[in-house]
Formats: sequence, C-alpha cells, structure tokens
Amino acid sequence: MWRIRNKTANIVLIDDLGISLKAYQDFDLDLLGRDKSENSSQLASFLNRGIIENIHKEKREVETNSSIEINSLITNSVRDAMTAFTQEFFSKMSEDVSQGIINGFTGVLKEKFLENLSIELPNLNNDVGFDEISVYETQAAILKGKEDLSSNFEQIGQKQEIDSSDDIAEQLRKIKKERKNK
Amino acid sequence: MNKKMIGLDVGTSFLIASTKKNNKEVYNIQRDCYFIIPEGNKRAIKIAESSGGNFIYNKDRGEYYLIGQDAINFANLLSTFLDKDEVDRNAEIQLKRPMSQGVLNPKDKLGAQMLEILLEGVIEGVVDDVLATGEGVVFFSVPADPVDGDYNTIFHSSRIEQKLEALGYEPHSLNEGLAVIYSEAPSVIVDGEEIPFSGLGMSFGGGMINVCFAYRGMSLLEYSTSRAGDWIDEQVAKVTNTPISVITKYKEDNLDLATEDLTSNEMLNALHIFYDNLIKYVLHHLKRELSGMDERISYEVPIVVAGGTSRPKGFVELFKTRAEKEDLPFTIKEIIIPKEPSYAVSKGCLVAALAEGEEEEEEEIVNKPSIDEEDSS
Repeated sequence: MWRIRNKTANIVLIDDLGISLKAYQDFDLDLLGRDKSENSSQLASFLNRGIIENIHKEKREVETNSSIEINSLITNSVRDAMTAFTQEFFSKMSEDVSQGIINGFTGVLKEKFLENLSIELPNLNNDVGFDEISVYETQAAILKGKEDLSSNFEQIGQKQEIDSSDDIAEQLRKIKKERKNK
Repeated sequence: MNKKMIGLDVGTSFLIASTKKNNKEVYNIQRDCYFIIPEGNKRAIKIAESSGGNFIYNKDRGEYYLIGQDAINFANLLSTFLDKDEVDRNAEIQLKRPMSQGVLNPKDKLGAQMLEILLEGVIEGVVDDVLATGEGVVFFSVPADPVDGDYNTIFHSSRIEQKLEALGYEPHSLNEGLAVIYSEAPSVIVDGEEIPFSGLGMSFGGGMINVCFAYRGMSLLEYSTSRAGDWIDEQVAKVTNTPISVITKYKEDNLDLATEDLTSNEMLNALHIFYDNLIKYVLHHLKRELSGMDERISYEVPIVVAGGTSRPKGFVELFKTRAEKEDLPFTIKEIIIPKEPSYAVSKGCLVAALAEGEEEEEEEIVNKPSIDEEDSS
C-alpha cells in the first residue's frame, strides 16, 4: 500500500495519474500501480510542495507469475477499508492505547467476517488469518447460492434506434490521448 | 480484431444496453423487476404463459418469475383485486427488484442471480452475432458511494464485473454521473479557452441520484444520494394509500410538474410535493459537497440533467427555479437536457467504450510493422 493525503481544503488534480482528491482525502496509489505512481512528475511536485503528504508507503511487492491469481475488488477494498477504518479509529485515541485493545478489536472484526462467510463456506477453519479471510470472501461471493434458474428467452428488452451523427467518442479519445502524452 | 463496443446502464428501474451500428445508436431497454408465481398456482401460470411473457423458472424453489413489464402488469392486475394493506402484508405478492437504492444487496442471493440473467439477456439484445470470448468490451455504470447512506458499492460493481467477464466481455466500470457528462459533452470557458467534457452531470435514477463534477473528462467530485425516484413512489404510496406499482405507472404516463391544477387529483398533488422536496434535497447536498472549496468557481458551469426520474414535463423548469434560489458556489451557464434523458447514462458508457476502441485501433496501426520492415525480415 502507498497511501497519500491531500493536505489542503481544495480539490487536487493529479493529471498524469488521472485522479483527483477531495479536500483532505486519502488515496492508495498502489491501486494505480507502483511504477506509474513513482513516475508521476505531478505527484512528485505536489509532495515536494507539501500539497500532498505520504501517509504510509510499504515496500514494493515482488510480482509473481503465478497462474493462480486472485484479483478481486472485494479483496483489495475489504483490506483497504479495514485498514483505513482502524487507522482512523486508533489515531483518535491516546498514544497509550495498548496492543491488547487493538488485538481484541481486530478479533471482533474477524469474528464478524467469519460469521458472514460461514453460510457459503461451512467448513471454514476459524483459525484463518485476516489476509486469508478476504480471499475466502472472494470464493464465497463466487459460490454464493447458485440456485437452479432457467429462462425461456435468450434476448430480452425493447429496442430503439437513434440516428447518431455526433463525434463525441472521437472528442473524448482526443482528450484522453492529450492527457496520456503529458 | 474488431471488438464490439457496448454501453450498459445498470439501473434500479431499467437495464439499458447500447451499441453503435451503421451510424445509429441502438438501445435495448429492459425493466429491472420480477414477480413471483409459485409453481402450485397453475391458473396464474397459465394466464401468464398465454400472455407470451418472458419467464425465469427456479427449480430449487418451485417458482416462476415473470419479468419486466409483464411483472408490473401482473402486479397492477392483482392490486385491482386486493387492497394495499393486503399487498403490503404479503411479500410474495409484491413486485421484486434485484437492486435497491442503486445497488445489489449482498444478502439477496436470488436477486443477484436474477440480475445476471437479465443483464445477459439485455446485452444479447444489442449484439446480433454470437461473440466469442474477448470480442466485446462493456463499459457499465456504477454509482458513487452515497452521502446519506451507510452502504458502499463495492460488492455491486465487482459482482457485475465478474458476470461480464464470465460472459466473455472485457468489463470497465464508469461512474454514472461522469457517464452523463460523456453523453452530452458540455464545456466550460476558462481564460478564453473552451474545456470540453466539463461541468456538472446529474443522473436522476430510480434508486439513486448520481452527481459528478467533471473537468476535461475527469471526475473532480462524485457522490450519490439514496433518495431518488423510488423514494418519491414510496412516499406518495404511503400518503395516498395506493400500491407503488400503480404510482409508478401513473408517474410515467401522466405527470406534468408544470400544471397548476393540483387540487383535482390527490396522487398528482402528492407527486408535486415530493418531487419538489427531492430537488431541494439534491441541491442542498450539492451545496454541502462543494462547501469545502475556499473560493467560488470562477467560470460558468453547465449542468446536464438526465435519468428517468427527470423525464416528467416541467421537471427541468422546477429544477432551474430551485437551483437559482439555492445560492450555489457557481453561476449556472445552462441546463442541458439530453435528447433521451433515460438513455444518457447508457450513451455515456457507449461513448467511453467507443473512445477506448478507437484508441486501441490507433495503437494497432502504430504498432503494425511497415511494409519495408516486413520485406527485410
């Protein structure tokens, strides 16, 4: 993860990454790819000028060519949501908060996740770690109640044709190309 | 390879797939609802079958599901024989929606499966040939997270993405408010320069209202509200003691927000009140979301108003009146109404898909070896 924060009360537009940050918004740049983010000159400029600050930057992960790749929005966003929530929650507490409270809190979260997963994956081992839970969530989502449904149609809907003489798609393509070339 | 480019509006009320053929935009529209007929109710099944309707059969539960307009017609027919309280008490004789407030409910397994079948059917309707895997690109609409609800849209968008991949398409999500901007390509003037694909896009849907503030085709701000067209129907149904399906049909067929004669019809009166309330609500949140800015926006901002809930006559005039009173931190340049407000989100997704397709073709041409290079090898 590489989390940054917009330190200002204004919207910040990082054109060469194609993102915009609301006032005081955090964002994980690893969602765009580490290489792309590290090569962004605009980002570097904003960081230098103190408009954006680095909150947390993990070491770059070694990429593997594993043929079994679990690529799920649910996986990443569950992890991100949990991390963001716990960071925000504990940042508001005093620095004396003990590790025991943190462990207890994450234990409650884990219990909740397992409870939700147990319907689709009844044999799930309760000893799984947090990282594994998000993987199982993906599997559970795929296995989720495939009821035996069959339809009497292949196509549905009512069609309508409209003359199309505009070149809006071409205009949009040009804008995107200009942005890429910057 | 010539890929098929498809735009897909995944809405609470309608699914709308679109593509371009021979310089025409082709839209395929399907209502996003179903009605359950238990297998034991042979008479109801016979009536529904003889109407030529589309069905889905659930072998596990022994149920037939009438879908789309047939479902609404059947629900309305039942409501003429039963009173509203009886309909409200029995969930099994109510119209069902796979989505609620703009998103799939993670706990509704059947709803998610129903939506997948409907999505497949509505996309098949715009694709003439059977496509092999990888021959189609679909840009589908997703809502932004709501400012007035505590749910997020992650499960919804990932489930649709998985389904489209399973069908062999290359899926890309696009924020619904930004899709509206792509559909109409509004522009702003900054320091004498015209900046295209800039302004405010507002999609007034059934389950949600999506808003996007864009600049040069990029989203600067996006959010949604969970109060939308369905909320109006629910409130009017409560105060007039009328089934929701009847309200929906009346709203779509008869509503004129510009009329001054409100006393003659209780339903019309109620619709006026709640439409006005909804518009004020949306503008209030818009002002709030923009309140974090230090300065007023210096250029005039166009607003695209789209979506099925914006279709009634008089809606735009009412919206303009309320917007001018709200003291927003910008001057309104113009209010743009798409030629087909209900199709704007699908069209915007199609524009994004076509722009992507043209970019890919250009890269292929650039990367293709020249004749000299081929000869020398």
